Amino acid sequence: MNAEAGFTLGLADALDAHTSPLTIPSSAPSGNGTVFSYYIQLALEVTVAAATNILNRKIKQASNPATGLFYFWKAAASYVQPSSGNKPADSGSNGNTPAGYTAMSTTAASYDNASVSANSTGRNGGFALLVGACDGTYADGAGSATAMPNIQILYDEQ
Amino acid sequence: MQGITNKTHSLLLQLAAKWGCSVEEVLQRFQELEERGEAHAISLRVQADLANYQTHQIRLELANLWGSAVEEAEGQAMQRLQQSRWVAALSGDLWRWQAFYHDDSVLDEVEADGRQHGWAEVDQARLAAVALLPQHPTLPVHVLKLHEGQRAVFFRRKGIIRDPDTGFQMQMAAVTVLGWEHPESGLALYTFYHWDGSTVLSTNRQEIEAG
Repeated sequence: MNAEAGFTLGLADALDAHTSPLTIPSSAPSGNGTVFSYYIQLALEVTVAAATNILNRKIKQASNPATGLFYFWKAAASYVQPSSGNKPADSGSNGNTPAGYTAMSTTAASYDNASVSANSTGRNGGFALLVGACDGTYADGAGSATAMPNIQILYDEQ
Repeated sequence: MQGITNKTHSLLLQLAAKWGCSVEEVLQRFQELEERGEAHAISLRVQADLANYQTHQIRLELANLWGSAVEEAEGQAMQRLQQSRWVAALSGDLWRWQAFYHDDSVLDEVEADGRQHGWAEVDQARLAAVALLPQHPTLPVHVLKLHEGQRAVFFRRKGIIRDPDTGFQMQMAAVTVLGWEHPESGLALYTFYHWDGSTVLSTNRQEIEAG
């Protein structure tokens, strides 16, 4: 991840999507339905060129989020502008995993194992697309105070 | 030690919880380290715990500790960590490798003139041994001697923590890994060296994560 000042997961293609927040399914807290965010594309960025290579890139969540909240991820080799057209389609059921994505775990999962030289600045390796979701089991109410777990990007450098 | 004794009881409680011991034992560890002239070790440990802090509760504790708003506490935490000489070490360069060839020549990861080499530049066919040279006086030297058919493996396992709620981002404590693989038999053995000098030996390359 680069040094940008943070990101939010919402219903817009924006690093700061506070004006387009992820909505709570109208069925919550006891009904069925999952709302997915636009994806955010995460990648390692070399800020100081080195003689090393970077490989074995993995992603995980530091802890499990509150009931009804989820992270999903998938690997991508190249950048694709997020839009309403490629946002995972909302689901009518709870706990739904969008096609092509994997539920984030507290166990690290590989998103790009390729060895890529760090001898130039810029993105190193592929992307991990991150999606946030809220389903009908969520009961903590609206607001920005609900914390989501930290994201960890792990890698080897040699 | 002064920096430690100025911490509040809440931080001691956090450390006790993290280390699985009582506050009294935390203080006793401080005292023992001070007596052994190793106070910097505890400083490193505390900073590593700060570097690993992930919960809103700890952010609140820091804010309380420093008498600032939560956002300011985060900024202060980052600033203090960035200012610390340990940050570079925690991010992965506690040891540097040195490759010894059968013809008695040596390839240093960092040459005397500052030139750096990547592990990919090591000629495995000529390699006799690899040494890990500590970049801090309290850490030991490690040497791997290779036998017929073995290939040396070296890498630093690193990580970045990103708090999506605040944008806060920091490096995790790196793990330095030296080992060997024997392609013909499929056997391998890796040693994972942590920042505090502790080690883990495993046949599983993925055994240990950063942090």
